[in-house]
This record gives sequence, C-alpha cells and structure tokens, in this order.
Amino acid sequence: MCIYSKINKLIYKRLSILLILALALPLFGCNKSQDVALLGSPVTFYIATGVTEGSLPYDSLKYDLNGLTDRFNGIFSVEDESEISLYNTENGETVKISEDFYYVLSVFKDLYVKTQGAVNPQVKLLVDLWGFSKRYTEAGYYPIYPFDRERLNDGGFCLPNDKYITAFKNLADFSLLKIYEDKGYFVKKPQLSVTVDGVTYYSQLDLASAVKGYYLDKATEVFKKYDAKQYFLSAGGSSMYLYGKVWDLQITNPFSENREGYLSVKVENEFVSTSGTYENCYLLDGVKYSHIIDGNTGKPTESNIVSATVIGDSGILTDILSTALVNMGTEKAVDFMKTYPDYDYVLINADKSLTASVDVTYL
Amino acid sequence: MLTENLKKAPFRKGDIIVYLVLAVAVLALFLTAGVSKKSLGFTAELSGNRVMEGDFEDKSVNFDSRYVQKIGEDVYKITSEKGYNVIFIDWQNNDIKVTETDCGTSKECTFMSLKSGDIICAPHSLIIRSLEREPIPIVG
Amino acid sequence: MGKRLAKLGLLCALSLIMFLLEGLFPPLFIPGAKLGLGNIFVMLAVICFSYPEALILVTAKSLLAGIMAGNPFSILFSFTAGFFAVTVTYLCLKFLQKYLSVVSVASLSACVHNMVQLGVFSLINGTKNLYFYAPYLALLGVLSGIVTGFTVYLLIKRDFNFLKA
Repeated sequence: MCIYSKINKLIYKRLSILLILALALPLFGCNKSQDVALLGSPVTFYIATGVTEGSLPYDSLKYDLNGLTDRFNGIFSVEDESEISLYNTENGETVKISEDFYYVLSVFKDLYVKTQGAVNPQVKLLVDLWGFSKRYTEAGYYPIYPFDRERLNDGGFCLPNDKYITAFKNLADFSLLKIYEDKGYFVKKPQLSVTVDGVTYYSQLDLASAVKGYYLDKATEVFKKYDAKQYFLSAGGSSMYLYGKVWDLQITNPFSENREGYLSVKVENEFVSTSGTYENCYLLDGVKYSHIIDGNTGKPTESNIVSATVIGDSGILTDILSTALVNMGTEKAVDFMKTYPDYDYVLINADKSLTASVDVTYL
Repeated sequence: MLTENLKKAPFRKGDIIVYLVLAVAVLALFLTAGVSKKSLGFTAELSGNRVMEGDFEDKSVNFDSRYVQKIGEDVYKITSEKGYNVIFIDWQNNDIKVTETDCGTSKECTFMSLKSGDIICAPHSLIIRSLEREPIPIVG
Repeated sequence: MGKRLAKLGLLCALSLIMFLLEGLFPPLFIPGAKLGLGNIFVMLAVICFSYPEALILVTAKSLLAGIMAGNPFSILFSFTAGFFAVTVTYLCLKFLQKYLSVVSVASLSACVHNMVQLGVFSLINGTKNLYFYAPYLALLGVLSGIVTGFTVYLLIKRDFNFLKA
C-alpha cells in the first residue's frame, strides 16, 4: 500500500498545522495588548456593567483604546517625530496638519479670545523657562539653553532673567497663528522671533492642556462601540468621563501631598477636568510657582485658585476651561462661567474656601 | 495500532494508577473549587443590565422594582420575560442562593454558590456576580 | 484507500449522530455536560486507523457539529478539546499499551476533553468563575469515559471486519 504511505506522510505535515491551530486558536481569543500611556500619563478605566473584565470584547476594547492612544501620541507627544514637534521645528510659514491637530487649534483659538488669554497654547517656551517642561521631570536634568538655571536643593529654581520673560511673553501672541482649510488642513505659523543674548527663538506650541480632554471625546466612541453600560475613564488622572449612572466622584486634595480625595460631587454622563497649581510647582522665597503659566504676564499664575474642576459635555472644553479658570482667579472665573450655563465648576481657593456651582460634600 | 493487548481485558494492572491519578485530580478540584473568595457585594444582571446590587458589609440592597420584588425577609424575586428566579441573601456567609426558579428541568442555578463563582441562570440570562469594592473615581 | 476513507467517514457520521442524540436529552445540571458517546467512534479511529486520521475525524466532527448546532464558537471549543483528548489517547495507547486498557484511557481522555473545553470557554468569555464546574465536569468525564471505553472494548473484542483498516 505504498500510495497510502505517501499520503500518510502528507497527512503528518498537515498535522503539524493542525497542532499549531489547536494551540493557537484559543490564544486569538485573548489578545492581551500592552497598555499605552497618553503623553506619558496612564489611561485607566473601570467598567461596572456591559463588558466583563477579561472577556474577548474587553480585550478588544483595550486594543482599540491603545490604538487611539498611539494615534494621539503620534500627533501630540513631545517625541521628536510627533506632529507637534515637527510643527515646532518647522521653519516654513505654512505647515500642513492633520484634522485632529486642526480641530484642537480651532478650539484654542476660540477660547483664547473668549478667555482673554487665560488659556494660551503658545506659552511653551515660558513653561520651559520656568522649569516645567518634560525634560525637567526626567532624572539627570542639566542646563542646556542659555536661559537654564541650575536646580536648587529643594527642587526649585531661582527666578529667570526678566528679559527672557518679556521675550517669551511676546512670542506667546497666539492671535498671530492662523489656521485654514483648503483641501486639507493648514496652519500659518506666526512670523515671530526674538533674539536674546545672540540666540534667536521662535514661537512654540504646547497643546497639553487640551489633549487629554480631546482624547476622552474620542475614547467614548470606543466604549460605545462595545456597549459598556456603566463605566468611568481617566486620562492621566486629571481628565475623566463618567457614564451610565450617578457616580460619586472625588476631587483630589490640593493641600495634601498624598493626593487623597477631598470633596465628593455627583457626576453622570459628563466629562470632568481638574487643573491645579499643586500638580507641579516649587517654592521660592515663600512664593509658589506652578506650571500653569499666565500668557498675559509671562509668569506662573498668581491667582488665588489652587484647584479648578470643570464638569460639562465636552472633553476638550472641560480640559481647557479648567486651566483657564485657574489663571482667571475666582471672581473672573465665576463671571466667565456664566457664558457656559450648562457647565458646572468647583473652585478650591488658597484660603480653603470653595466656590462651586454644584453641591459638593467634604469627605 | 490494534493489538492483542487491548483485546485482553477491560481492566488491567496499569489502570489502577490512572484511576488513582484521576481520583486525586477530581478530589483536588472539589476542594479548591470550594475555597471561597470573600465577597463584599454582589450584583444581579438580566441580559447585561444591572437590576439589583447589594453590599455584604453594610447589609444594604438596591434593586430595580420593575424586575425585582421583595417577597420575604432577605428573599427577592427576580422576574424577566423569560421567567423568574427567587434568591435568598445569606448575610452571615456573604452568599446568595437561588431557592426557586421556573427555568426548565435542569435548574442548574439552584446548585450554585456565589462563593465559588458567578451564579448563572442561562435560560433567563441572569448572572449574579460577586463584587469587590468598586473602584472609586477620583480626579485631580 | 478509498475504503479506508469511507470507513472513516462512516465513523464521523456515527459520532455526529451520537452528538445529535445527546442534544435531545435535557442538559444535566451543568451546561455542556454530556455523555460524550461520540467519543466511542473517535477512539475507534485512533485504535483501528491512525492518529492523523483520527484528528481529521475530530476536525470534521467539530466543524459539522458546530454548523449543525448553529454555534460557530463551539467549533473552537470542541476542536481544541478534541485535539488534546485524541492526542492523549494516542500517546497512552502507543506507549503504555502494555499496562493500560481502553477503559482507563477513555476515562482519562474524556476528562481531559472536558477540562480543556472548560478552559477554552472561560478564556474566551472571561468568566474565570466557571471554575465552580470543574470538579463536576472532571468527575463526569471519568464516568462517561468508563462507559465509552467499555463500549470500545466490546467492539474491538468482537473483531469486526469493518474495523480492520
């Protein structure tokens, strides 16, 4: 039966394929994807009902979410190849950009005018000047640029030179940036430059105060796709979306180092963002300098608000507004929020008093 | 592969070892499956929609009265268009027992214990899951 | 050659018929619990034919059973479980023939089949809590394996012409 033995050999070959299939098929069921961090901050979520943890849809949801995070990192991160980094180093006048980038810029343009400069994405050099950009958080910081100072023992810096403050403040004129759409999306870089001590600087963009909120706007589509019925989603801890039931959301204590919960507010089907001067700051001669830079003064905000939380129906708006309110100070903030009657806010002031448009309880 | 060996007898010397191994394995499974996770709370879902939840720590329950009725002390009836299940909440042991149901002859859910896993009544799409404390959302 | 294939096909059909008959019974108190009488024919394929042919039978049976039952996912469960069960059967029979009888091997392989099936089911659906069923399924596997194994023994003892490859 020699024909049969030949066929038998063939069958053995196919067998190995079958073996691989048998072992591999179940594994396709669980594509455990590595969690990706959005601009360096973790994206976390909890689904109470709708999608069971560990199941196939859950893993697919995570996979989709990671894909979204990758896309955002590709546009907004500080990596050299990101779209925003390329924009910042681009010398030409007009730069072609993606739809996401364009949209974020358009929201900023609108709010820059409405908040009278309380929010300004063009303060990147100021953020750097005062010691709050990413390179400072990495270990082994050492002065590179002419305006850099040595880090003091307590982790802070001494004051930067006034001429840099003025120079970079001038570079922060966001009104000179123009965006337009013409079979694609384009931005006209502001033709600004300043020269200090023989070095020329050009204006730079930093969209960090909007990216997490915008990310949430897109991420909710993923959760909707998988029919998550009750969940909350957090991008980096400072921007969240809570859906499906009345959640008891806690707001972090700005006066404590432990970042424990301080206030509780009820949120359902809304975006929430919190910005505060406690997030990244240092003390110098008894004065607190935080990473929230006021583009109008060129210095860290001197307002009396230590933590501003905004609750509303748009991720990107709540994110930007929370930063804007800190810059404005309590009075102006309350006044300004009248233009957003459907939005709520919780302001924690330096004297520990609260100004809020919703009921909050102390924990 | 057919050899005379196999035709000899339905029970041979080596069999004892196999049956011993199997007996040990089955016993081990019975013992470990009984190990309970301390459940701090539970939820009952009909077709993925939460209709009831309870907390063993403060002995509280919330339920959707469209689907759940209290018919006795710690006894609740969960009804859907597919049928009903009556559950008894055992606060002492942090457990739930299905005491009555109209789902066919098998009534598999009546054998299940929350301590060993989810209680599932497949014909009624009812799942009763135990919960650790739910994560608390915090922003800032 | 053709005869062999035809016989194999017949075994597969018999296995499927068993599967359908078992489906008519109300489920014992565990989902997916069945007597697994179809395994009689799978075992016969391993013994009287060859390992690769038995695997082909398992593949065909899983595919057809899944289509007939209307649940494509079950193809995955029964194929993986069947694969491991057949492999275990083959290995035991090949190397331990001197010591074991068909009955114990059938018992072992039925147990393995049930465990793998449960494992794949929980992996895909994410309910790790189905562990509760594990001991009952294992016990059922052992018992049903004894039944199928004994039947296989009776069949090969009779030395049917049909079973001669």
